[in-house]
Amino acid sequence: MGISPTATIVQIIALCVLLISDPVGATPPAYHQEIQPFLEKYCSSCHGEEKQKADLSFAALDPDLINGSDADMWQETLDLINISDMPPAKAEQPSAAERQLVVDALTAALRDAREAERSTGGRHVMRRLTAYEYDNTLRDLLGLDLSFAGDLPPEGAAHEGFKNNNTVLGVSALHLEYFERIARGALGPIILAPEERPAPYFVRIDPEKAYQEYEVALEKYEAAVAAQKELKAEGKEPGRREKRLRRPGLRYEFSAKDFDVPGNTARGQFVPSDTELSADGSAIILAGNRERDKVSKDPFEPDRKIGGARGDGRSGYQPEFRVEMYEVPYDAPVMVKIRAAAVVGKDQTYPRLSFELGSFRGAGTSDQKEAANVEIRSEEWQTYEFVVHGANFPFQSNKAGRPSYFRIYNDYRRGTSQLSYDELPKLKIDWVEITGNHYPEWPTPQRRAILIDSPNQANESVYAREVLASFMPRAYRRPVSDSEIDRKLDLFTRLRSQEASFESTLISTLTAVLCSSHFLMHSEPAASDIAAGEDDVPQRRLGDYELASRLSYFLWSSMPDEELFRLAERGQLTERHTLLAQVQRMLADPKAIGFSEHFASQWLDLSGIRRLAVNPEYFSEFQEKTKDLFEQESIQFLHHVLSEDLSIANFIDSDFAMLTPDLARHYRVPGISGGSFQPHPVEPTDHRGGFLTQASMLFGNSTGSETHPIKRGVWVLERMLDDPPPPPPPNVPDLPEPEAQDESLLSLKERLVAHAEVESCRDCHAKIDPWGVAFENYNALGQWREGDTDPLVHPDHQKVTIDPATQLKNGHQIGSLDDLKQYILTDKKDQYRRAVVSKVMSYALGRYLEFSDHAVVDEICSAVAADGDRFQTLLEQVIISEPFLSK
Amino acid sequence: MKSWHLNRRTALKSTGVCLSLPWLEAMAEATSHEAPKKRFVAGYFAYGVPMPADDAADRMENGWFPVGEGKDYQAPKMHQQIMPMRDKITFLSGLSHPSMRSTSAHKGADYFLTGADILKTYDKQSISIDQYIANSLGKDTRFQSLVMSSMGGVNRPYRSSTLSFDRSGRPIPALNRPAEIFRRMFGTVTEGERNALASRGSILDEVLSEAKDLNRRLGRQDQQKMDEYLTSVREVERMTERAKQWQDTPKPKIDADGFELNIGPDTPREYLSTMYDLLVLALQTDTTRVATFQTAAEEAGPTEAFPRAIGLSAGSHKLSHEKKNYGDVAKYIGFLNELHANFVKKLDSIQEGDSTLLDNTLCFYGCATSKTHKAINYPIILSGGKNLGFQHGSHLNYSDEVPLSNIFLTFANQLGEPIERFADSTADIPDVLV
Repeated sequence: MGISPTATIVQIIALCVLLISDPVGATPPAYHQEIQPFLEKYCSSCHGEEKQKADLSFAALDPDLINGSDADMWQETLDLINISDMPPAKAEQPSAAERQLVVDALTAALRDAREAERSTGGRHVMRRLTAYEYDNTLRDLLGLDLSFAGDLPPEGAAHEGFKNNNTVLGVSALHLEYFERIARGALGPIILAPEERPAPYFVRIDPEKAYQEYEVALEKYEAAVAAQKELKAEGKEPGRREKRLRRPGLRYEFSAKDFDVPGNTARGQFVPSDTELSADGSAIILAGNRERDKVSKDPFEPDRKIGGARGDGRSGYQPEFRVEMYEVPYDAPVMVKIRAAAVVGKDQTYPRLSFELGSFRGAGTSDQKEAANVEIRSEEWQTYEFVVHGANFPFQSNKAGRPSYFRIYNDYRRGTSQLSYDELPKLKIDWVEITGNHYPEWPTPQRRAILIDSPNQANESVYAREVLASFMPRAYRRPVSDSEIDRKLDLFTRLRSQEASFESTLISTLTAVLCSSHFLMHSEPAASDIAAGEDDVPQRRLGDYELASRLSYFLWSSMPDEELFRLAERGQLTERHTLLAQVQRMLADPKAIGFSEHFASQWLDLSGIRRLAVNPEYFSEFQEKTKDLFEQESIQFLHHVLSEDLSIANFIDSDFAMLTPDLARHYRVPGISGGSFQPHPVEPTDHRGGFLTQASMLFGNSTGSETHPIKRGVWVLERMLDDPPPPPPPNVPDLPEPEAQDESLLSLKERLVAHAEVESCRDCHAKIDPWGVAFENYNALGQWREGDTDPLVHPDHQKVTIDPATQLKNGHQIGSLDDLKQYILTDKKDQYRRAVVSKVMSYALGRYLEFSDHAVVDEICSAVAADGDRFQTLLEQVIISEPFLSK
Repeated sequence: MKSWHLNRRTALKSTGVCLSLPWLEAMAEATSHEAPKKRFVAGYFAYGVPMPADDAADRMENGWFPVGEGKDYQAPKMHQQIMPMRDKITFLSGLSHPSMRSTSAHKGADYFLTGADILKTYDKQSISIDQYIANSLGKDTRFQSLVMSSMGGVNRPYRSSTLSFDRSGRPIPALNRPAEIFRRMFGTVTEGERNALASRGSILDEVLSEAKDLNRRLGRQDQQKMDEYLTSVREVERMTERAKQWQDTPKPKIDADGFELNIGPDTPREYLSTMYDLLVLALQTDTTRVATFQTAAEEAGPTEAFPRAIGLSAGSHKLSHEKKNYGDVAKYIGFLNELHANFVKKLDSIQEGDSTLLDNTLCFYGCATSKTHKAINYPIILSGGKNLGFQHGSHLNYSDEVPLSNIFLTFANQLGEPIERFADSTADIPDVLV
């Protein structure tokens, strides 16, 4: 009963047909072994041929989960059996074991069906550049360090979190509209630049001049004060002018006439604060902390409050060297020259020169962004030069009368070290020059890269062809044929009659190149037309240029550089040793941060940090900008493991942490002074090491107030072990939160137990929860806590039972997170390695992995294991794998 | 006189004869006998509504669905802001999309306006009702439609961040940044943009023909991807034609000083209000006549934190799973309702000819689940459109078998090109008509 004879026959026939033609899509074997018998026994009396309660008959459901149309009904069935809503209470109940068996079988079958559904046949599928790839590509193609993609529609991530997955990269009309707009906006200023070089905006600051002027002003002020006193003594009322006497500050004003530069329009003032004058009076000295701030007794407390504001903030409460400028050309390159020297601090520590560009927004607010942060080791005077593009910074003053500014700090701060002011390394500055409209070459190199030198410049169409022949191969990232150039030249000719100038016609033509499918897509087409009716092209090895692109988008998130193109041209890139040498070169290049940033963000789901709000009732002092540190910590950590070629075991546990002074304070790691992210050795008592102790994961998988062991557990299973638990059945209540702090408060474990009242929930959660419980020593912000209080949250919420001890489903006892880390690195070592390989591979290929990839992943894992699990080896092995090298 | 009002003669002179003129209040005096301009707006919120039992003490305090049917219904507290508009609104309950009733939910935005059967695959995704209507109503405006959502873009299949799908069932990316929406609708057209428009047609021709050549060298799967590109180029070609027709009609002049446009979903009240205001402006200035707005997505994205940002205890997904203490989820849905009510009221406060903008605009607002995971009995409020043949004042409660597409069929026939069927509709719903 249950399954009608006809249906069965149809199914058998379907099964046979499927077995012949398509071994993937078929009734899962488990259907006959586990699912069907269960349904017949417990379900078919209500949902069978005779009765179809809720219009459901299992006889009529297609058991082929892949090609059939009833997958969602099967999901629903699974969910209801899973939460014991079915069979209904009054009907005969299956045993727990029977229930579990059918739940597992259906879960597995549905997972396989989902995988088959999205299969690309193990093939690389064409995809569009992601927004960030597009941005980087335009940057490298045009040689302009600017942000281009800001207006593109926001992009989603595929199921596993990867944004470069072909399934989420659609092209819409809106996209094309923006691609055109962005291309024109980028090409216009380059090609239409005026013949005459814009006049520079030049400022030179000799800081000691401020002290000189200050002394003069101070003398004047004191004289005026004395005069006022005298007046009062004589019984006379001082005039209005006298009444408004103000103590002068350390500053001086400048204008263009102070500098001998033709056409200069600079105007502004120099306003240092909390700086010192060197003993010989010739230079200014900057420390990372203010001399007047008292070192706090508790290294984790900020320095003593001064005037209501805490010391040692990232900005605003540090000694600074500020230059305020009016009407600065913000949309142009700026050169900054700094004559500086180091005063070495205690234990051979060196100052860090950091500067930012910003502008005042009114009401005491300002926007700024850091432009450089470098260690200065030389005690001798040296001139340091930086060129940045003003458009990348909030450098444009939005209201007349409010200046833009340039600000230098010494970014070596006391942090949690308790170094005294005298022990800190200092930065000495002799002078600073700021040059807006910094164009050392005119026409600019960007312009000359497009409008190449040629004897044929007078002949428009000949020259246009030369320009296209030079631009198109770089844009298409491969050689272009004559006919490809000719058709763009045809476009040029068609447009020339209606456009005003050669230049504007060229902009339109090059815009077409930048809207072309050859530019916007990773296309990898066959060499010639595919015959009609031919279903698909056979798999083939990539050509040299295709490989160059795949490689550079994998490791740099951008287009290939000159060297890769050169090797591709010679046909050498496909040679194994050349390829591997290039991988080494590329990983050593600063652009490799492209891999670390995007892979880490997507693999570890760093966007979770932004999605979640910190509950101020729990963490009243938390500053939103600390979230940036959470995100950067994980990116910098991964990048360090990559650039030092360390073992991937470090992701689980490491004897170092990437910290800044502010992050060290957040984590309460003592003795950390300095500036930007640096690797610091950590002690076991610091409770830091690996991604598992980083706030990105711990906070991103909390509730914003409290820990969330289930989320944390799921994260470990999904991201570190590639063993995602099935999604929860619908209508499962969330973990109950305590109503208030009282004695009868359920412990976390009791609440988890309450959550898993239902048998099959408990079964599934036994697989998840212990992985999250082990993190209980870390609060919602990832700070360490133990015992029964969390001193770092608001007093109302400090009382908690902290118990990380737990037992994994297989009976393995876990006492703390350290045990869990060890367990992963020993018992689960192979699974963990496989997970990292799979994630990197999925990212490298821009698609989901599927069954046909399993063997390759196994091979890579063996090779990586044999080489000490080094991260670079892992990347190399992915790169030389067949799927990466093939189309 | 408001600054965006056009001088009809100027408009006539500069646009030539083939172009239909934008219809503005300033010109209404001379032309008030004209048929009303028809507009359609569809809005969506995420994760369903609180549903205390009918005999529960907090039924009226925390529920969504009205008590009683027909004219004599009582609306729960969360609707108090819109109830002054009682005569211009209708509550609908019971309706749903049949092919998605068994879905495990959180996919609502994907099918809310399409009614397509996307249970198993996205292959059968089809045009959304707003886009169908836009084919007719969008002919005479600068933009055929305006697609907005708080998350922006399309996100991914089954977690859509847009409500609108084109005739091939492809998602249309939603705009989410107020400043950019403002620029597109009201920003000054530069000389450069004018020139660019003149060349765009030729550029697109070339790009399209080149893409067709490439397509012949691609395998089957790649060709599917390429199809999207080809379709999009053709779509931009149509948009370009339209933009050319409109380029000599000055954009309405809107003083942006009253707007804080650089604002994001981290301040939901301000953000959603601004988005709604832009929607009002778009309709009022006749920049478009069809719009969709997905206020929140069923995804762990920026809209998940909306309830927390207004001081409630949890994120929106978690709130929606609440089974007993409906207080916070009711407050949250009430908050969204309030902003929607403000929008409807604003439309009603704008005079257009002898009636109001709301009377010429049909607004459809709701969600594709009742309780979180129950994809039946959608909570829906219909408002406006008196001059378009719609009547209001009731709570219409349908049985759970009635397809939502039936009312889409009514919309289509009332506002668009008459058709026999929309998606899986089985009949129309004349109850909402006069």
